[in-house]
Amino acid sequence: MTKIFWILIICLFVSNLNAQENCNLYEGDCKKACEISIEASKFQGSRSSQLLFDSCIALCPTFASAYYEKSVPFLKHGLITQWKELIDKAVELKPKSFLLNRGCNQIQFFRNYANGLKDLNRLYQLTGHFNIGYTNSGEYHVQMIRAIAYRKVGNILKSIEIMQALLNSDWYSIGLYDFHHLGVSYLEAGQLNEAKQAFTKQLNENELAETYYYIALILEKEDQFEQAQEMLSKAEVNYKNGSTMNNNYYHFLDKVFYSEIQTATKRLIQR
Amino acid sequence: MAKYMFLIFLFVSCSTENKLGLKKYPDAIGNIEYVKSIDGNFERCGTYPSDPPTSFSNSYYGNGGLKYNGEMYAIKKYVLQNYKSPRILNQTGLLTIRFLINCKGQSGMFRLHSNDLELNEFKFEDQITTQLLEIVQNLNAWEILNYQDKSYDYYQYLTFKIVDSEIKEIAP
Repeated sequence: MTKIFWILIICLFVSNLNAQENCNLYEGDCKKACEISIEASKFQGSRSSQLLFDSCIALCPTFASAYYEKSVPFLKHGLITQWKELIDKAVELKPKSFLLNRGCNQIQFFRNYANGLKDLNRLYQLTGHFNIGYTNSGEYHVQMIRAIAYRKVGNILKSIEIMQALLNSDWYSIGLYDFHHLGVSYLEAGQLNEAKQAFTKQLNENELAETYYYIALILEKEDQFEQAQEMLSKAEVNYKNGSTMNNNYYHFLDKVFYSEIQTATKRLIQR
Repeated sequence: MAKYMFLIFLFVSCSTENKLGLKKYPDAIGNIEYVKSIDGNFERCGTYPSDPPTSFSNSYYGNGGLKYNGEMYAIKKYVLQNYKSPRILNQTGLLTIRFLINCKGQSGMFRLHSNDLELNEFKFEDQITTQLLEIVQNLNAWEILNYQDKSYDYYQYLTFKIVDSEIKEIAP
């Protein structure tokens, strides 16, 4: 529990870091644009905020953060064309900072895995090292998102390889859902024992309804129906308690829904 | 024919909205403007335009995420049971349908736009857009946004990832 608390604190910290520019890094009109953009971010999505970002861009057309911040409300409302126009400009001006955002958001918000992966691979190439950063929400290391995207485009072995490299890095603290995703990759690769081990580690780190559900699927494959039902009961209890993968903006990758647990339970009862 | 004309109108309206989007903004990004000829008698519970204007649109994400009885699983199940792929190749991209859910949980004011997987604007065949619009219009288990003993309208969208006319994913 203490561990989860600290992970959440880190998430909040990372999220704030992303939101706040250090305006002292700029001079003249660009410094002013930066200061205005911080003000504008407080009213994200409103007309006055968008107009303030326009004034930032007029003052300093190379100030990438203004395009990025202005793009965010379009993303949140599914307005892909307008989001793309702005985030592309931010990426053009400051690729190392905004490829991460464009890549992860394409994968998480609208499941555009291949295109998002292109961005994350380019970021990895530009950065030149494995530690390419965390998602804006702080919930994931970007290598984990990259690994899931590889699985989604059909390259499961590459997915496992990246996940293992991340989890074995001495500088890395295990994330909230990392072993869950690793377990799903192993499951899709048909490596059931490795999948079970990963899911067990996930339950030790952070108990999730989704993880119990996947363990039940493995047990069902192994014809251990009673144990599978037990796992589904735990999945149900945890789902009701809120120990589940939740996000207000989109459903998580590898998420399981309550009705899926119920459907699996019915299927097992009929066996 | 009337159905297709309606769809073209939805697209034209949305594309005009897109062009104006970066120059002239609504009170809040994401707001859908009520157009009598498209939206008919769809009942909205708030005051539109709001007076004084509200700077923030009520959106699904401010309501704790997508709220549908049975969650996204139920939406996927319904959509996949009812969608018949026209099996046309190269119909690949993201089709987004935005709409409002009123304080009674009814949906309306549907707007469509679509992109290819590079996120450039792309128009799907009518056999796909008409079907998906009808299917989304028929989703009828939206939850009501309640706050401090009052019910409010809120915006929702669904994005369909389509590859060669087949639905591969539904977001958000």
